[in-house]
Amino acid sequence: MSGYTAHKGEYLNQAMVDVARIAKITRQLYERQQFAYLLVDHNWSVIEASANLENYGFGDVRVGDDAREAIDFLVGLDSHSTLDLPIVLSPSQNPVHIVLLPEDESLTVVLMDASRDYEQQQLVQQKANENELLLAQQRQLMADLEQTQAALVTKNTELREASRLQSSFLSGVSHEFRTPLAALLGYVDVLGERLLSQSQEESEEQLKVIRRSGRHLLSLVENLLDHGKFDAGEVVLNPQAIDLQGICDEVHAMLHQGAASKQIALEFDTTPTPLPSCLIDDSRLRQIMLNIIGNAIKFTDEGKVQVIAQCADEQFSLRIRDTGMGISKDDMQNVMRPFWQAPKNGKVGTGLGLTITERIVEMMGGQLKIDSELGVGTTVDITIPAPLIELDQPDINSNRAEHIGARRYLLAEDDPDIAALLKLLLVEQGAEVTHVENGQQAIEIAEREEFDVILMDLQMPVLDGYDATKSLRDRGDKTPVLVMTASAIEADRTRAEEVGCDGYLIKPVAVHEVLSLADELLQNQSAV
Amino acid sequence: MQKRKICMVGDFAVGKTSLTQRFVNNSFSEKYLTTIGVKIDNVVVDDTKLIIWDVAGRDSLSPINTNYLSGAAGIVMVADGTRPETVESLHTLAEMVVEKIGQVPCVVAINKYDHNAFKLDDEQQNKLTSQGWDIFKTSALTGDKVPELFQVLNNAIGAVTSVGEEA
Ligand SMILES: Nc1nc2c(ncn2[C@@H]2O[C@H](COP(=O)(O)OP(=O)(O)OP(=O)(O)O)[C@@H](O)[C@H]2O)c(=O)[nH]1
Ligand SMILES: [Mg+2]
Repeated sequence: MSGYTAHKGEYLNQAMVDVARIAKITRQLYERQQFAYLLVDHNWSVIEASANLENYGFGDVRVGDDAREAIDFLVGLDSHSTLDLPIVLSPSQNPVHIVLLPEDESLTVVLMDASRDYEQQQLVQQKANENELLLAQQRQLMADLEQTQAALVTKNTELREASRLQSSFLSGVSHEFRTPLAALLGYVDVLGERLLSQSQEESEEQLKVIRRSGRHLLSLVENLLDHGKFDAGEVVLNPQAIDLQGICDEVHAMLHQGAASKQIALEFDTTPTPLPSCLIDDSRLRQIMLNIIGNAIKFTDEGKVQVIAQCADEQFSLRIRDTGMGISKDDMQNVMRPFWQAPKNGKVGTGLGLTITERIVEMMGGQLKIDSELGVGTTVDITIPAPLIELDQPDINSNRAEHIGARRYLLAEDDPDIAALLKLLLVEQGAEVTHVENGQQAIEIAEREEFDVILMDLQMPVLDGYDATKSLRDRGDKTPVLVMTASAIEADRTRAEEVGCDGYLIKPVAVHEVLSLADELLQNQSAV
Repeated sequence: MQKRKICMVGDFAVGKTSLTQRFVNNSFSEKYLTTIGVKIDNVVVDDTKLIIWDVAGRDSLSPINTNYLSGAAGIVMVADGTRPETVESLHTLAEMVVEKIGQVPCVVAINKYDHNAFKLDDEQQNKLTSQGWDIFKTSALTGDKVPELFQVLNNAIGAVTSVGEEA
């Protein structure tokens, strides 16, 4: 105890010295501007401010003022709570470290220079953040890359599937063409050898096969051409006043032989009978019917194919029902895809018939629906808008009667077989035909002789049909020109019209088409 | 004049500084200079001086120093529409804000709307609006929706703050 008392005075002395020293150091620190301070009461009224406060940008702080008026960063803060704000940047000022130290009656706000801390941290943090941004970008790129890769894989699969379909299409097409071609050539040989020795009935039977095979080939080619035209957006509808019953009868006549040869029935049922006349693109309608009914016959080996045709409320509806092999649910999703063919059904084709039919039906503003059960059969429902129209029956007859007369035709055609056939058929109808082999010859002869109609092939050597027609028109020759071409492309037709052609026929040309078109032209010409 | 403290919070490099500079000085810089600590700016909106605390963004090294949020009357939460993870961050950021200063008016900026990689799917958007936040697809680059962002926040603060509490 006594030791403690003895030293008490010394301790006190020492403490006094320490306090004095601390006070001195503090003053020195302030003076050296290491930090500034502000003393406020709890209502932010300024009690005291260190002189160097203006070094921190707060020069106009006066005793008694509300500190928050002069110093923005104090706005919102609590004058009773301790707060440490390590780095604060005010506009155009150096970074400061701010500490709020509350006491019973007052609050001291201490401001210290933080430039060095700021600079160090800035360097480190900037690097770290930039690195992380790069990493994030890299991750994003990787993700994008993976996505692209996945898309490529899908695309690749699609392409491979497309190419597979194309090759199976090619083999299908080849097969499809070979069958009727073989029949056609075979029977032509038979006919050639036995024409004189066999009965007329036998010859007629063989001719039927030849005609059927030829027509079949033609419809295949038409489908192929149409597919390309649809893709190029070149298909145009050409609605005409037609006799629906006539078309149904015609289609029946074309297909019943094929059905009969497979020993299946082909039944046509029309309501009302006869069907009325209406406004429809007849060649497209024929194509639709041949495709769908042809398919039904092809895929039916037993039973029958039933066609129910109805016309009511300006709608032509067709139901084609067969008792064939049917389509499975899975295959149903594929039947409309171009070139697609059911695997392993033993039937081959182009895989285009349905695709094209659907597109034509849609284009006509109609609908096509397929309903099928595997092993039971398939029903196809087609509806097409069919505005009713009065057919001027007697007029047609008078037209027909009139074109039997001696007309003078100039036929420009480089293919000798086609030329000979056309000439033969026209002469049979009473016409007079002069044949030349190219456009140049056509121009020359047209200068010397008069013709009623010029039949002009488009693709010819020396001078083609376009140039020949143009040349004729340039010379003032107004003889109607009917062009004939194997091209079913709309652009060719437009070009032909531009050079001055009056009519357009697609090969193979049927003689009655030539005659009626010629009639029409000549009538128009005489009417003018 | 009334003064109000508001804070910009969000992940690093989302555009807090850019939005502030676009609003305060109508300027923009392509260059990224990360904010250290906090940068204080002010701007007058409808007779109110907004003291904007542009707080350093959160990054993987350091969380936001919530001391800077003390006394804020409103919060602008910012995310980068080209970095989905910064949009996700908003939810944890919001929790952190509430823990520190309680419920205060809050607006959300999904920034860099001008950028072609900007993406905000319905799910993300619904999750944000279900918090009751006003969402702005902003661009500090073009200035798109930037004034609206601050205006709406200022109005919201005006609506919840009684006059007596303000300085
Ligand atoms: N295209 C585009 N870029 C922007 C936009 N806003 C900001 N940036 C860019 O994004 C980068 C980061 O912007 P800052 O405003 O510095 O981001 P911050 O949120 O303040 O970042 P920290 O301070 O690090 O938290 C900069 O390079 C800006 O130029 C915008 O709206 N559009
Ligand atoms: Mg910043």
